Amino acid sequence: VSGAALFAHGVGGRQDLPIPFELAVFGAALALVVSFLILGLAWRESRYRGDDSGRPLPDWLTHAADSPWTRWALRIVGLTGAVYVGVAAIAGPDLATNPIAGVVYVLLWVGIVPASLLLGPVWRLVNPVRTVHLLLCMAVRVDPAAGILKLSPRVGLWPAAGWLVAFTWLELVAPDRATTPVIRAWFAVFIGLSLVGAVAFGSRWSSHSDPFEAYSGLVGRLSWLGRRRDGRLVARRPLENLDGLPAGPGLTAAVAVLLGSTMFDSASASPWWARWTQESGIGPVPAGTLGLLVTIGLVYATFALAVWSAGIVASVRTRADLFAHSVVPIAVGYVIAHYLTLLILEGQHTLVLLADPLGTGANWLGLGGLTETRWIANQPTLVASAQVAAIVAGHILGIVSAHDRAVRLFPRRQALVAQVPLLAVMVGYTVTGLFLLFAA
Amino acid sequence: VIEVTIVDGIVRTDADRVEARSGETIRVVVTSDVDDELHIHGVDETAALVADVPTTVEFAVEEPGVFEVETHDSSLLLFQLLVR
Repeated sequence: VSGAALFAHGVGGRQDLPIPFELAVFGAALALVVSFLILGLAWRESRYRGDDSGRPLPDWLTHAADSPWTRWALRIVGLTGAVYVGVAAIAGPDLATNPIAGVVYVLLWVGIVPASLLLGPVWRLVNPVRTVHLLLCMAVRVDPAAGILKLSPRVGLWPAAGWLVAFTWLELVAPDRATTPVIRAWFAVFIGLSLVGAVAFGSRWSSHSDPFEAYSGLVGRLSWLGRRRDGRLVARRPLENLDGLPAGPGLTAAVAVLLGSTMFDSASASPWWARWTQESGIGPVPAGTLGLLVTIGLVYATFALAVWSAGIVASVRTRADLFAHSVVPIAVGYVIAHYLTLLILEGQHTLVLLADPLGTGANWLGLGGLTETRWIANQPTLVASAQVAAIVAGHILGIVSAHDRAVRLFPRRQALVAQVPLLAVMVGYTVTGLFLLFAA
Repeated sequence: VIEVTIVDGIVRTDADRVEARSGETIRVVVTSDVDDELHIHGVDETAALVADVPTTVEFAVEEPGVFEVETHDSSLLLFQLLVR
C-alpha cells in the first residue's frame, strides 16, 4: 500500500519537532538585544548605494551571462523541464507517486529560495511562460516587448502579489491540493492568464505578474551577485543588493504574502487549528481561506502602520514600500526555518519520483537509483538550532536594512526614535515566528 | 493505547498530540460511524475502517518528527504523533 496512497493534503506528511522552549526564548531575547544594539551603535549616515555598488566581476563573465547562447540554453532548460513535468501532470497517474506535487511545492516553491540566494533572480531566465510568449511572438513576427495596451506605472508588483496569494492558497488551503487534477487546473488558469497578460502588455507583464519571478526577484536581492546600473555583473554585500530593490507599488503586499503565508502554514499545522476547523462547522477550505487572508492582511497592516508611525515621528511623508525591502530577510528566515527539512527530504524523494513520471516503472534520467539520505530527520537538535538561527539572522538583517533606509530618509535628529515602531513590528514578526516553531 | 471515536465527523480522542519515543510500539484503536480508511503518516500505513467496528493498528515510528494520523475519505485529523 505504501506510496500508492493519495495525500489528502500537502506533500510530505512529516513536520519538524517543536523547538525547545528555552531555545525559543533565547532566540527572542537575542533578537531584541541585537535590535537595540544596532539602533544605538550603527552608522548615522546611510551607507548603502544599491545598484551603484559592488565590485565588478571579470568582463567575460558578464558577456557569457548575457550571450544569446546562454539565454537560449536557459530557456530550453526551463521549457524542457516544464514539458517533462507537464507530461507527468497530464498523463501520469493521480497517485502520491506522481512527482508533480513535489516538483511544484518543493523543488519549485522552496528550491527557488536557495537558487535565488546563490545566483539572484534566476526564474525570469528559465520561466517557461516567458519562453512560450517569446516563441509565439517569433512565430507571428511581433516584437515580444510590444504590447497592445500601456501598463500604468501604478501597477507595480500588485498583480504578482495577487498571484502569490493564489499560489499560497493552492499550496496551503485548496482541497486535494496534492492531487494532479487540482494542480493541473491551477496551472492551466495561471498559464492562460499570464499569456493573455503578456500579449496585452508585452513581455514585461511577467515581471509585474509572475509570482515565481517576483519571489525569485525578492529573494535574489539577498544574493552576493548583482547587476550594476551600467549592466555589469558585480559581487556585492547582500544588504547592499537588497537596498537596490525598487520600492515600487505592491512591494509591501508581495512581501506580506510571503511572510504571512509562511506564518499561516505554521499555525495551520497545529493540532488546535485542525480541531477548530473540524468542529466549528466552518469547513477546512473556508476557514483556511479566511485564515490565510487574515494572516497576510495582518502582516500588511502592521507593517504599513509601523512605517506610517515612523513617518509621523520623523515628520516626513513616507510609504510602506520604501521600507518593505527590510521584510525580505525576515521572510527568507521564516522560509528557511519552516521548509529546510522539507526541501532536503521531499526534494530527494521528488527527484526519485521524477524517474518514473508516468507510473510505468521507468527509470528515466537514472534518478530512480538515487538513495534518499534521511540523516537530517534524525538530527532534531541541529534542525532546531538552524531554525532559530535562520529566524534571528533574518531579523538582524531586516533591522540593519531598515536602519540604513531610515537614516537616509529621515532627518538626523528624529531618525533613531522614528525607527522604534519599525523595530517593534519586526520584533513582533520574529517572536511570532519563534513562538510558532515552539507551539505549532 | 490510543482510543479514537468518530461520530458525525467529530473526532473524540484523549489527546490531540500523542508523544512517543522512536521505535516505541503504538497501538491505536479507531471506531468510526462510517466506512473509511485510516492513514498513519511516518510509517505510511493504511487500514480499512468498517462502520462501528473498532479497528486496532500497531506500529512503531523510527524517525523523530511530528506525523499526522488521519482518515482519508472524511479527511479528518485524528491526532498528531510526536516522536522524539
